[in-house]
Amino acid sequence: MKIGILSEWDTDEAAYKILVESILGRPVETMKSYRKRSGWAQAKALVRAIIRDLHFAGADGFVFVGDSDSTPPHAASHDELPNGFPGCRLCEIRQIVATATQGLRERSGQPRLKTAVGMATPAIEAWLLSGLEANCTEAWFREEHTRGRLSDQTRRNLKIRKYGSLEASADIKLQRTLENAHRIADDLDGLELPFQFGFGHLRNDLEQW
Amino acid sequence: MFIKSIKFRNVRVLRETELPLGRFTLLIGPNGSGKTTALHALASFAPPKWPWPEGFSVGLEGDRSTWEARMELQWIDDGSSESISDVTTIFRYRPPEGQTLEYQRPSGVDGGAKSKLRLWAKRIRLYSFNASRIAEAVPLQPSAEMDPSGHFMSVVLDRLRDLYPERFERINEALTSWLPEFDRILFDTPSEGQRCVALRTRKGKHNIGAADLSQGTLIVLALFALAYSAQPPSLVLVEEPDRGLHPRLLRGVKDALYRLSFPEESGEDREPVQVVATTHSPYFLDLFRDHPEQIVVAEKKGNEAMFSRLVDRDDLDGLLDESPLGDLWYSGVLGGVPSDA
Repeated sequence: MKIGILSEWDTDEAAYKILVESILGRPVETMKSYRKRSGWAQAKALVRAIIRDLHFAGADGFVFVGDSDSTPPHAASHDELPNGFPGCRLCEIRQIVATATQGLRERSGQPRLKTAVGMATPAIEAWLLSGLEANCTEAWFREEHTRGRLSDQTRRNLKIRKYGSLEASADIKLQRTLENAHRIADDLDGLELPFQFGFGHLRNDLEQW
Repeated sequence: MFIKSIKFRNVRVLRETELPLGRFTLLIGPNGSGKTTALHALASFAPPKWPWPEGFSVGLEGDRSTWEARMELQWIDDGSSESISDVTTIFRYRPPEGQTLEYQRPSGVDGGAKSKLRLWAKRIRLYSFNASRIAEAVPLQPSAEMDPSGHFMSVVLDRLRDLYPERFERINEALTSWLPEFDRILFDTPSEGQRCVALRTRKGKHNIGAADLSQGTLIVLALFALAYSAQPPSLVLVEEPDRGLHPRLLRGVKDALYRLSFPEESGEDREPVQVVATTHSPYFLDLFRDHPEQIVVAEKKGNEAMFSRLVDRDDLDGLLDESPLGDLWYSGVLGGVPSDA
């Protein structure tokens, strides 16, 4: 199975690929590695272009996992709103992906491009620290958001806790990312329990492929 | 007249590919994807040993007994007096030394046209600006021209001031627009018979010598010297003209290069200069959204690199509706990014 993944860094992509393979129960080939320069606005615009690119390139699937940063984390109540919850990135990107795939014409001899969307709250580092730190859960970060305490500093603290420092070398980042990605991929239920929406949606999408 | 394309076979990483060229071409691609090789190959066709490529190594790889490298240039006349259409010159290199052994002369071209080709090729120039070299004081030589690093720029500007004062004034106007802290180009004489450029500050009217100017400022001056030249080269090959410049200055860089390629659009009454530039800047690429036909993507796969025109993508219009060109390139949608593949 050939897929495309959009991420910010090589290390993030490596972690997503491990999770995707664990959920699907089979190896996947990263047909194209997409990188975004920065910013949510840019990522949204790129998603549409990447879906189009993968569609024409004959890929089987597209996986997007974003960071919610300091925006409202997804909640069950969002799924009942016709246009999603304002400011929720998971709601927003799911709509964008749905619209983008609907606009693609049929491919001869190949099924439609499959898609899967997840949202790490507040960042991928939280998933990778799952099971190691008691407060590393969507519920805890949602509470922090409600209290107005979810900020860039939250992200920085997560990075420091995961990599040891903000200045960790790329080698160390990759090594620690792979170690933790394999650990959480071996216990998908253990990751979904604390991250039931951001990771749960990704898992659900992939299980329908 | 301009070069319509150059085909490569076994020229370093360019194993079998064709680089299509227009009046203006912007090459994008990862490091090691043959952009510089292509520029140096084109530059090698300038005399003195015309038509033999000079100072260019194609690299020797593979089975040396059967190895052959080849470059094939297609020239075209864009409608000026003597018509030369689709002239092809082919160069073959063979082992053991890799020297040119065969040269296929343009067929169906008369002596006058050949002479025209030769004169055109004589004015091919390659630039890869180096701020340190631009800043150096240089001896006053009446025929000196800017070398590939930008060395001798001070003498070129000094001569422009004397022979074409109206052009020199236009550079001063451009200077105040690009770098508003300065209002005039001046010249120092560090020793007898030498020149070195200096800039006068708008406030306080202080002279800032070349050695104290920023690298970006010096590169801007070199671009001015090129773009406002009264007798520019026929083909300008320029590596990363945006190097060291603030992103807001990149529109000016594009304008300067377009001044060469599309002189009629800037009130210049002269032949267009063919320009081939490279860049690694998504910001610079963003400026060419309306001209995807000017973009060529260099793609590296393993040890082989290939060129393709951006406009040859079937889905380009849809992609350009979605995202800025620079983002599409950086993300990998357009290709031309570093890859393990």
